[in-house]
Amino acid sequence: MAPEFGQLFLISGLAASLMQFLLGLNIISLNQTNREVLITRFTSIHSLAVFLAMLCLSYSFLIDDFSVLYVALNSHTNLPVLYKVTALWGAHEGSLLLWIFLLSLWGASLAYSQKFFDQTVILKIKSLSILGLVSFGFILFIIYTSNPFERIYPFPEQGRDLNPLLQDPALAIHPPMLYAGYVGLAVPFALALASLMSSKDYHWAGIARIWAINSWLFLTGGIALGSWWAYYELGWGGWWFWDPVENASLMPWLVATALVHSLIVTEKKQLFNGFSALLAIIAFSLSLLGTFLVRSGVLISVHSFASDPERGLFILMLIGFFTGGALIIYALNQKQSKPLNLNLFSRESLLLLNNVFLCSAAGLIMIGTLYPLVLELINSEKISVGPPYFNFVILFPFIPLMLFIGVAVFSSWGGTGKKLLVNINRLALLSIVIGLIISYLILGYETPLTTLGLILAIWTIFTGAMPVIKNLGSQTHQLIKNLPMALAHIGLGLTVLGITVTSSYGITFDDTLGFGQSKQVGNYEFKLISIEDRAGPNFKAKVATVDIFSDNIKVGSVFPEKRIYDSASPSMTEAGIDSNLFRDLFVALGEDLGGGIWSMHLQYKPLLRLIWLGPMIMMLGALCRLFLLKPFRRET
Amino acid sequence: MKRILPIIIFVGLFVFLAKSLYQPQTNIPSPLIGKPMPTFSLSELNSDTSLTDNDILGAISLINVWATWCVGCEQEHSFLVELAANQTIDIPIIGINWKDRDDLALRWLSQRGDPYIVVLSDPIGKTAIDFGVYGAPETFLIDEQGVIHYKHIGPLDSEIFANNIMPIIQDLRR
Repeated sequence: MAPEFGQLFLISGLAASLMQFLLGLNIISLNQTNREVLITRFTSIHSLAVFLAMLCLSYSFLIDDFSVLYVALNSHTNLPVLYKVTALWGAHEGSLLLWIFLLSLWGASLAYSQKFFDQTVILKIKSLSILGLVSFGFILFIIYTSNPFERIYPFPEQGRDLNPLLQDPALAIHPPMLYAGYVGLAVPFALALASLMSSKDYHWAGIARIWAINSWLFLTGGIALGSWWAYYELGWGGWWFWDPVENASLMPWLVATALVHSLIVTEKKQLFNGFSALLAIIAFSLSLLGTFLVRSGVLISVHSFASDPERGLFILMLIGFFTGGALIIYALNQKQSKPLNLNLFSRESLLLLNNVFLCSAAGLIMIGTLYPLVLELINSEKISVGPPYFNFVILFPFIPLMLFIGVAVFSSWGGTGKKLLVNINRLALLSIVIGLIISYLILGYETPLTTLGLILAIWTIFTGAMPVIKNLGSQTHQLIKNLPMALAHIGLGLTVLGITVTSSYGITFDDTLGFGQSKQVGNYEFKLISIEDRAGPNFKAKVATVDIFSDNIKVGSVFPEKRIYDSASPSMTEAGIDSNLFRDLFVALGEDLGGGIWSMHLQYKPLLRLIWLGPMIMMLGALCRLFLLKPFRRET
Repeated sequence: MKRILPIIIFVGLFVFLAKSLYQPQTNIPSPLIGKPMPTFSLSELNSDTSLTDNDILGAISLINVWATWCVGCEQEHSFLVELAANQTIDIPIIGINWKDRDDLALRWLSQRGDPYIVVLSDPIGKTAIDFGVYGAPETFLIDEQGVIHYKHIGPLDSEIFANNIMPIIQDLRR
């Protein structure tokens, strides 16, 4: 019965989201108070219905009901309970259900938000109505093309098991986090449109910023987790592949970053209102585009779950409707902007400049992701652009971006260049000196780009930390005010530092090793001790023991595995990693070449951990802004 | 103009994505040409016997990556059946059923004819990644030792086979 109930709840959710949309329109005549009460109720009903539908599917997973096609394809009686729960979003249909649930949850959080007052209630009603329409479109998409509650008869005795790649704790929380970020961008999108259509002021910016920061928080976490997962699970030792699916998450992140900064200017200075609205539209559209790229099969990648042209077409139509519609509303309703009279070195123009760099970075990634398709249309040849393109072009927006981030921190609203120069010259000199010392004396000179990367990373960390350090003695309020920015910028600096050092000084070897043989990688010696069999709950594995020595002193042992899952025959690599803050030693087991000799993939990666520590600190910054700053704001 | 520009860019992007959705897949230079095919171990369709790359060596053969959800595979299927029946060309075809369900695949083959000497099932697409598969259908020509000599992306037909693949087979047989 559970799947039938699930289906019913989904249809109830569809009806509630339609009501949520209609209540925002003037064709239903109601006074504003009743309208607000009703639309809030329907928003709650809508998210409750989708939540119950999700529970029904979860229940089918937990009782191993293989008469449900989706469960039969993605579960197995021997699957650990944790993965039976997370298998819900292990494939296309379920992950869309999660997508819609999170969307309805963000809608509910807006409905119960205390940010609105009498004059802005209309903004709330209109944006909830838009969110209702988005949900309606996607629930329709699920019911029409990707119903997770579909039954099969005769049903199989045993399920096909969850994709082994996804049987991993990080992957259990990666999709919900990333999706929460993707769909959270629907809220600024809805607020921007609501503002364009109704109110003629800037109230939306302050409200939208909260949800933009929330989405940015989740996107940051989701992307970092995905990268960490790819590093230890895909077994190749890389941490970023410029895979279409990774790009699809990075583009909204870049634009969301720009959006957060642009909204500051719109809220505080009533400037760039149109630009902020456009960024909100683009950010959400890129989230939708990400969904399209993953689902349509237009681009095949390691991450894609299912490809089906019918689904692709439906999503494309949804994108056409929402993005196209939003851009038309934007074109028709844009307010006459004030004549801009900006000083080049004022904070507002520096923020604008950096937002342009962030958008260019997103644009370049989009070109790289879609370029193979463009070329294919023009002369029917497929080429893959690959990491070299991305690694090269991303430098053009990022080098000036990193330079101006620090400058913008020290700028002031409406400020001038002269004052700014006095403020930053010492710190700039210090960053250059320390960068040169690290580059030439500590790590050893590699390339000009490495040195530049080191200097810019240190510059970003120093300039981010400075406003907090300067206020260490002053009141708590002054101190905390700059903390979110400081943490976000320090996090970015650390990430760039990690990327620069690891890609310049890392060492990789592919080699064969027999028992007792060893291989020198940098300062470390890897020695294969043994390979044994091990049985897991639903897999069999070969486990190697590799000891690692530095100057003949044992620094650690790693246990890389090759797993054969019962139901899916390809083997999976579980890398063996010995890590601390300063370096990662990575061993992946290759093929058994016979006679006790195995091929192996060995890596030494200095400062690799910073690449994930950085985003964690950035997230801490966002959390500070969302929770710590609140009580102090009320006082002022 | 400033207001309309985003719409123009978006319309361009939209039309382009819509076209890509229906664009047949074409040639991608494969880095694997001239190299041995990647190692794998896959189970036969609807069975527990698992075969490795070593098991399928010994003859010049085609490896065809296909799926029931792929439109291009439907297009090329009748040609594959015809090719498999052709005694003079006499080339075995090995199928890799990609990201698919065994029951659907079996039904598909029973309805449309089965050109394959063996069909291996790659439900999560790991082997396809090793082969550098961009999208189904894709066809690889391998020699007796398993070295890849040619890769065709998109539906195969008699013209492509005669012009691009047959000459290589003749060279290899000489």
